[in-house]
Amino acid sequence: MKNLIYKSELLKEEFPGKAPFLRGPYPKMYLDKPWTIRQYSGFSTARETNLFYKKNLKAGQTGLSVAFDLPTHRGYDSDHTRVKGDVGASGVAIDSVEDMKLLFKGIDLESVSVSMTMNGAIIPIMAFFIVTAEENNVPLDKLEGTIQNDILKEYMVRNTYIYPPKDSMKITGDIIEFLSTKMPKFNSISISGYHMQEAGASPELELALTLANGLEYVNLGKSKNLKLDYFLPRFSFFWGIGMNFWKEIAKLRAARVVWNYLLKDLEINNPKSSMLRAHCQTSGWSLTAKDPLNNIARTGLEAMAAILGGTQSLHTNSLDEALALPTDYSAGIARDTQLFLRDNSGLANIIDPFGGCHILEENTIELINGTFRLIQEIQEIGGMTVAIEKGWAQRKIEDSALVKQAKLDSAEEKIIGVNFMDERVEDTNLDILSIDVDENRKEQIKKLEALKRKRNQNEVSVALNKIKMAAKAGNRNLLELGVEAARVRATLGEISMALESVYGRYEAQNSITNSVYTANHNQNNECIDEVLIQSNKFYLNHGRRPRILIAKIGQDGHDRGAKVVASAFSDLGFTVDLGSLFQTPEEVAKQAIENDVDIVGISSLSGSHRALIPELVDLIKQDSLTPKLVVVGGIIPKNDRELLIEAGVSHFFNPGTKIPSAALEILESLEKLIIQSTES
Amino acid sequence: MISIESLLTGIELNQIPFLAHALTIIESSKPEHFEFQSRLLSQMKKASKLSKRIAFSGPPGAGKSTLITEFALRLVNNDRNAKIAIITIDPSSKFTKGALLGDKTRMSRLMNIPNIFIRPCSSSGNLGGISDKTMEMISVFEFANYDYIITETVGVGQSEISAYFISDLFILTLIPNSGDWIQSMKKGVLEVFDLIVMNKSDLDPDGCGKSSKELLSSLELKDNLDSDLVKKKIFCCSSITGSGIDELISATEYCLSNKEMIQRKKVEKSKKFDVFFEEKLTSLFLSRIKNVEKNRKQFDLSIQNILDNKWSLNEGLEFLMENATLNL
Repeated sequence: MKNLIYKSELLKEEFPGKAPFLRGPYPKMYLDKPWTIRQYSGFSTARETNLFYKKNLKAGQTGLSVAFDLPTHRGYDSDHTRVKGDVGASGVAIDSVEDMKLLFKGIDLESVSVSMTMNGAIIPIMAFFIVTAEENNVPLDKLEGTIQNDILKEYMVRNTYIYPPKDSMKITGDIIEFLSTKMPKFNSISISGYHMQEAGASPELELALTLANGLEYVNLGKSKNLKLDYFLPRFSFFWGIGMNFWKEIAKLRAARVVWNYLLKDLEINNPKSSMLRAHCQTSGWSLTAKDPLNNIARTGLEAMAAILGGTQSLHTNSLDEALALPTDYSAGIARDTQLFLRDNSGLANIIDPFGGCHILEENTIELINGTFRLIQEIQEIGGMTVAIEKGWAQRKIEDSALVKQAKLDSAEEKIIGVNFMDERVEDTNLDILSIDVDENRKEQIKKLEALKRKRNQNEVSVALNKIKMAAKAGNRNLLELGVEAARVRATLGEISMALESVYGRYEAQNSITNSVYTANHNQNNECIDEVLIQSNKFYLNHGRRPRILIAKIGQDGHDRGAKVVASAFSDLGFTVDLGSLFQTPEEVAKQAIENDVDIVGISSLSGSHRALIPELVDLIKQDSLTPKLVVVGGIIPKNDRELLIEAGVSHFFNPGTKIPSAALEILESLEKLIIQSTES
Repeated sequence: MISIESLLTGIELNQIPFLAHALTIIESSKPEHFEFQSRLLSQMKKASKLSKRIAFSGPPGAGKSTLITEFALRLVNNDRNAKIAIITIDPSSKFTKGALLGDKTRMSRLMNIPNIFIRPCSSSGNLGGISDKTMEMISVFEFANYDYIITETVGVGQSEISAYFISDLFILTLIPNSGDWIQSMKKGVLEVFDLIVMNKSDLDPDGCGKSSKELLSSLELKDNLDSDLVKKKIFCCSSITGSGIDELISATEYCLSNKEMIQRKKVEKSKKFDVFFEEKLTSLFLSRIKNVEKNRKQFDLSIQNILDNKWSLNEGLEFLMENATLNL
């Protein structure tokens, strides 16, 4: 790979719609067609989400984007014992083709494009979607939309994989093959940087890791003997847009240039093959639980950056997303934000309006060159698959996240209302969406039972067996067989299990860094020193370091927060036990007891806490000889807190909490608890 | 505080919370706990079982945790009733004294097996690859009737020989092409290992075989073993495919039951035991000095005098030996 040094003089020769697409992928950009207003949503059951979709389409949304619940992502039917806290909690539960049909009931799949965020259980979900189209008489070549199908990033962030990397990549290849043959208008992959950015990656890192993942998928297509011009035009990308306005506009422009450059020595005749198209979503991480109305302004600013960068479609977050899933009301405001930008602001009438502005061009050039250098480093390691296997990519993101957290805790980076100007605000009383997981589960189980009664069991067994055989032999397209199984009403859990019986279920290899946190906590060291003094005091009083178990519970794989907290606490003089992902309350309780910890810290971002945390606290109380403090971090709606306090949770920490002050609070309560228990 | 009797009864009744808490007390460095600890341990020694104690050592990234997982799964497979305790040790920070214990997350497949108990702990500044209380923790597990007690060391390399003294079998875990490591370990763990695992053979099968041969030829194997099984002391294993692990287990069981080998090992250990004794003594001495306020003051005083050039180092030490209360 030759050196790419990008210089500003080049701008004179750049035009939108012309390689390397610095100023936009299309010659007339939004003048021809504005970006798609594509709001990502889904909750509870297909029935309820369907109503929500129809309402939104009526109100001006132009595309759909399905959020599935975590059991669906991880390949479990709703009746599986491991997922009882997660059904319909952070997305819609889909167990069979019947659910998928219900999800799109009364929606014309020929005219509305559908994006689906699915990576792990991609075979059954794509199969359900295809059979839904078939049974609604929509020809496959008319279907428009996107399937995420980006499994590599799941092993770095987000963790909604099922199988080991090699087997998952085989599935990814099958999807690309099937879609480019039979569904030419459907994007076969959406290579995503969003989740890395949300996990704390810097813009360069987001670009480099994502584009390098893209190269792996290019090679995958080649290994299937597919012609590049055949499948590359259906590659799409997905970026996260944060608060750093100029950087974010620059990021979108830089991405197109670097991608175009990376493909330039390949055998490509169709200019669309090396033209990067992107979907963007405003950053959920940048939203605050405190003073949530401010989030409207934040999202508006981020949306503007995405548009100025030339995105092809956009999701704007709702103001209450640091608190819960959006309500009708908050989702409406988020959507309208885009309508303002499209119809009232005039932004859609000019192409790359800030092109030539020195700060933007400087940022763009810096990002192009910085990203390219990182990609070279990745190539030297042996490409992304190796970089992930070695844990290099994960470590890069974690280090970047810890640096960011330390900067926030020391207020070097400011978040208004959280670590800066934080005394004037009051928590706003918002109505938030509360989801009844038990009710969802009951409804899904009833449907599953009915489905299993009606179907021909023999046909199902034959179809599932074929999948197993093909997975073993590796000789057939698994999506094709998935479609056959979906037709005869095999469930998502059954199809996933057929593959799992051959491939096995992958377990995360946890790597975690310490002392990065304190090293980057430059100012405000008194707070850290104070914690260190207090944790030493605890040591002298009790003969051990305060010991905390940081655990995730349920099927939520977002573990950035848990890892940052774990690492920071160990830098603050605690002994930290790190729990595995995807644990049940029984498993967390067992670990807390065996390790005899003083504090159990649960990280919850998926809404499964209502069901799972009270169960956990009961189990701990039942078995523990010593008092244990239970604290919860993450997104816990105010309305749920009473329930959890009653169950025995002592502290809640929102996103944006300063870690040293949380540690001090915890130590103080712990001492009190120990005194209380020795007295009684 | 809980009484010794109820702790012992709880453990005898197989109550996990009691066992867990006994370990916490044993680990404590609070002077008020010292007497309790000694009494508890001597009570336990009276009724202890002879467990099979196995230590896994090796450089970071050699895949010790995953190997132990596979190893333990097979032990349970061979004998459903086998009770297995696993102690994993992670380093602690010299400055903040905090520690991040992550090994157990790599053993999640063991966590739902009722007869397996995993206890992570921090090295609390100890250098020998284990913590200064690992030996005592093993005694607790012996009292609690565990058949196998597996220790996973910190993984810092050559100095990890303490694990040798607290185990009946010392397994060194390496990965292919770690020539530099092997060089650095020649004086150290390579003088005391019983078996070697060349791990991650799935990633590099050829490299595994080659590295094993090189290692074999560079080592002067210390004894001529009669059994065919243990003639091979190096095992190419993969925790992913499972290859080689059954052979490793057979060799382990053989070493742990062959009377001649046990006897030989005993003799060998007693020759080297002063190394471990010295280490234990130092850490005991330091902990009694540092954790008892009166002693700490005298410690500070003697350091001050040494630094001010009023006393020689020897004088300072003798002052401490005379004035500190070491017998608590």
